[in-house]
Amino acid sequence: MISRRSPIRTIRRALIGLPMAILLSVFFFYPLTDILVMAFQPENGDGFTLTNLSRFTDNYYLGVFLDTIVISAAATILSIILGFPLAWHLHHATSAHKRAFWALVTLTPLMLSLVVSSFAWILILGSNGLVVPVIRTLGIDVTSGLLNSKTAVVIVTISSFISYMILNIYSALQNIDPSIVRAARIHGASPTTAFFRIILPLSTPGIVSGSAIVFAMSMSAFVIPFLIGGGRVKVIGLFVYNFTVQLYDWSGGAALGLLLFLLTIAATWAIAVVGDRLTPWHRRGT
Amino acid sequence: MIVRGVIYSLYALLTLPVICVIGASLTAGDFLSFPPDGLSLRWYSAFFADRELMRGAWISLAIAAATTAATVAIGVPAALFLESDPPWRRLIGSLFLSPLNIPLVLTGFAMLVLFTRLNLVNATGLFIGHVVVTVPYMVRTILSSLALTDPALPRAAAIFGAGPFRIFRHVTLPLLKPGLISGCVFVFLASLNNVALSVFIASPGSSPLPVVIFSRMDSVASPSIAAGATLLILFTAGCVFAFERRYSLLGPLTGGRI
Amino acid sequence: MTQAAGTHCRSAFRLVGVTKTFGDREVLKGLDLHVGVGEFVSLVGPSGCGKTMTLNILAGFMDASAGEVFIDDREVTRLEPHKRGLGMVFQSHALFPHMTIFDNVGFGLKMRSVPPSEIASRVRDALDMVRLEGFEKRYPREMSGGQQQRVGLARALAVRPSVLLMDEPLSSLDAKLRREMQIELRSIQRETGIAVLYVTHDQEEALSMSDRVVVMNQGRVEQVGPPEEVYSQPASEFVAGFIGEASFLAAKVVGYGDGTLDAVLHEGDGRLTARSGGGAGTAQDIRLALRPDRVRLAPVSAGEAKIVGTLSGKSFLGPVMRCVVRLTSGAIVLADLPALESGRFDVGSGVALDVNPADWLVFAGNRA
Repeated sequence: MISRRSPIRTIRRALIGLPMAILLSVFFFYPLTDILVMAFQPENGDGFTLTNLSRFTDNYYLGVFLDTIVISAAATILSIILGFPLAWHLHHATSAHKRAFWALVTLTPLMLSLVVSSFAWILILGSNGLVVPVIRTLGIDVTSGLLNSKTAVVIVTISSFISYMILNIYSALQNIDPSIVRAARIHGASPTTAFFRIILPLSTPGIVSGSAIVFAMSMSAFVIPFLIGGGRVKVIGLFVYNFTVQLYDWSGGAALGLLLFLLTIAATWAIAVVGDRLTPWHRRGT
Repeated sequence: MIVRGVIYSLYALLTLPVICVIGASLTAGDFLSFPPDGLSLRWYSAFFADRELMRGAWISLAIAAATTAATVAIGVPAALFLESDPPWRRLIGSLFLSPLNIPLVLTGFAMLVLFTRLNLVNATGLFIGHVVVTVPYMVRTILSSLALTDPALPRAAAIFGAGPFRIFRHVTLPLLKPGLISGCVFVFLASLNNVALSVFIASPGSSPLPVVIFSRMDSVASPSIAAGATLLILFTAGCVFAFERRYSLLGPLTGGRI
Repeated sequence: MTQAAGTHCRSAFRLVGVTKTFGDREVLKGLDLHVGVGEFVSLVGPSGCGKTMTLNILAGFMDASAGEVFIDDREVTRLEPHKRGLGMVFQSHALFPHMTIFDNVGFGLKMRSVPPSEIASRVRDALDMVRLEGFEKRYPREMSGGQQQRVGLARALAVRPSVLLMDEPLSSLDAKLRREMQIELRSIQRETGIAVLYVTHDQEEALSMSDRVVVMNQGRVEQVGPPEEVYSQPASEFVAGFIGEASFLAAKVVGYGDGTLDAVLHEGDGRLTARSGGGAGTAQDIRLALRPDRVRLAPVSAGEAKIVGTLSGKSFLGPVMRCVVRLTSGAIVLADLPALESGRFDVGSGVALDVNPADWLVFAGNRA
């Protein structure tokens, strides 16, 4: 757009951004600030207190934080391991048709609502489902079923979020100049060496950005842990949900939510730092 | 060719949930199971007869439609605003996209508090909530669409006498059409399938379908839920396939990075 | 015009009868190519002529459908690229963005398990040769296009290959930088004595740099020879048109003299005498090519059987004035006159072409 800084033009232009600004200010920033304040307010009345927050620093809650991190980390790492081959396959698709087809398969999990995929996995992992009867015939007794466990939550989390990882890695692979790989090969690198020394390092930015997404989503997830974990798997997001919707303990929920948010930001920042370390040649922001 | 087998198994695992849900919905038996106990469509009729589930479906569709319209009305101008390179563009841009970076559980909680106070814990509140969390996708899609258009085109129009409004109508808008459509499809589906935010704002009278399924899963888990879930999947997949060829949905997902 | 398969002179590499087919399309047709030790050979041709394909087959990135490839007299036809001991410089420089210049240049040495101390000294030597000493710790993105291309060259030189492949390495550089790099490349090549196969679409570049030029068209070699030979004795009409500039005329042979032939241009444009014995053999219908720098203009004088036409335009090219002469039939002949002489004739006046018989390039009539 041609810009000339006459006052009327500037105002007119600013006006079109106004609805969005108002929408977010009233219905997003304000309520978030509200609960941020709530985290520091005592149950009834005003004032400033840290007791809401200190409630959640005992061993029990530290354990919950730890569990949340472990589940998220496991989901992220396994997403990398399982997602990379699929991104690789997509990258090497031999025709536009095949690429479109496999890309759609990759996007399938994203087309499912979280309830729907949880519902599906309950069917698969439940005692009447696919997996348990097969395991039973092998002689292993799984009376309690596979559900209601951290493992099940990790599996379902991976299944729901791995598409983001695949897409990010795929994008990084696509950005590698093919003549770089040829340069490596002509100067003596076998295909395996070329992969580990050239392709893998150059796809690291994709792995890092995919990890940030999967980890953050996993940290704050509650729908999957609720439906799959059956009350036995305790993660922070679930606690926030319980506190707010079921127990109406809003101060508690706010405090816990704040802690969750800070923890997630810290972890995402850590991933970014590690990412930067691993890619010294990369200018951030490109 | 072990590698090939592994890759195809992984792809199969990605599609496994879909297959199970569809399969379970076709069971002729009385209980949820997979593989299904015989094949029948009885649970689909059961779904259409179930008042709560049907109500949920209508609410979902209505809210999704309203949300889509609202995100177009609010998001497109917001993207154009950013594109016109205002002062503090980066900061404003981050603020506009920030709902994407806040976990839904926190946004949901915050809105619950606000809407309780405003007495909006109903369909209207749901609508507002959906708009807030989906409009950034629309903004991002339109921005990347704008980035792909040749900057010389609006200038050419201006040289030949078109003012800002005309440029928008005759040059910018037609060029935005693909991005706009893919943004709309994405927002519609995101709203339709949303559960993490909706469980906070939903109330017994006004629960979208995913929330109804959510609350049912604890108690009465009958195959009619599977039928409802299948219909959701098929509708979503149908939209994706119908629009995929010409309007890639990867744009809204990745902000055009792919 | 191919050289005899040199069994007595050691070749840096040889392609024998190499054919490449895609489906039912023959992209390379029975290619024979031979490059001697220390030779700088250019592969030129229009897009799609197969020169890049030839390079890829030599490098091992593609397999030939038929024929054999020899490097240092060793058969490598089915050998993988990383075992062929080659070096290559790419059009897009293809430096490893995640490695320092040092690691980039030393990459090939690392792959060949050269001890680290030796790697360090060889990398230093290679960087010295391309005048980039001191840049070891930088990253590719910190360097200019010309510098990046020199790093690419250093990387290929460091491994001391028997053959250096170059795939249009200078085409992404601006004209002045390109000319400088051409001179630098050639002097480095002479200093190191490495055989070079240089692929380019720029025939001027090929002429100025090479010991021998290979002209390719549609999967075949049209001519191989030293630059002067390819320029002044083109083996086919295609080569005459692709290398340097030429005007083309059609004519009919009407008689033979002592080492000469007499011909009449079509549509009454005039008569001429040319040197015979070239590629046209004894064809009746011939096509003639004329280089602009070999045409002089003379005033029209009655009674002389010369080719006459009208001077229809003049363009100042700097060193020469390009004159466009339109013959009676409408055919165009270009004549490059030294700037000093160009004032003799005005646009619109009649002129006669003055051409030495030896300067007519004669080819057999029907265009292939």
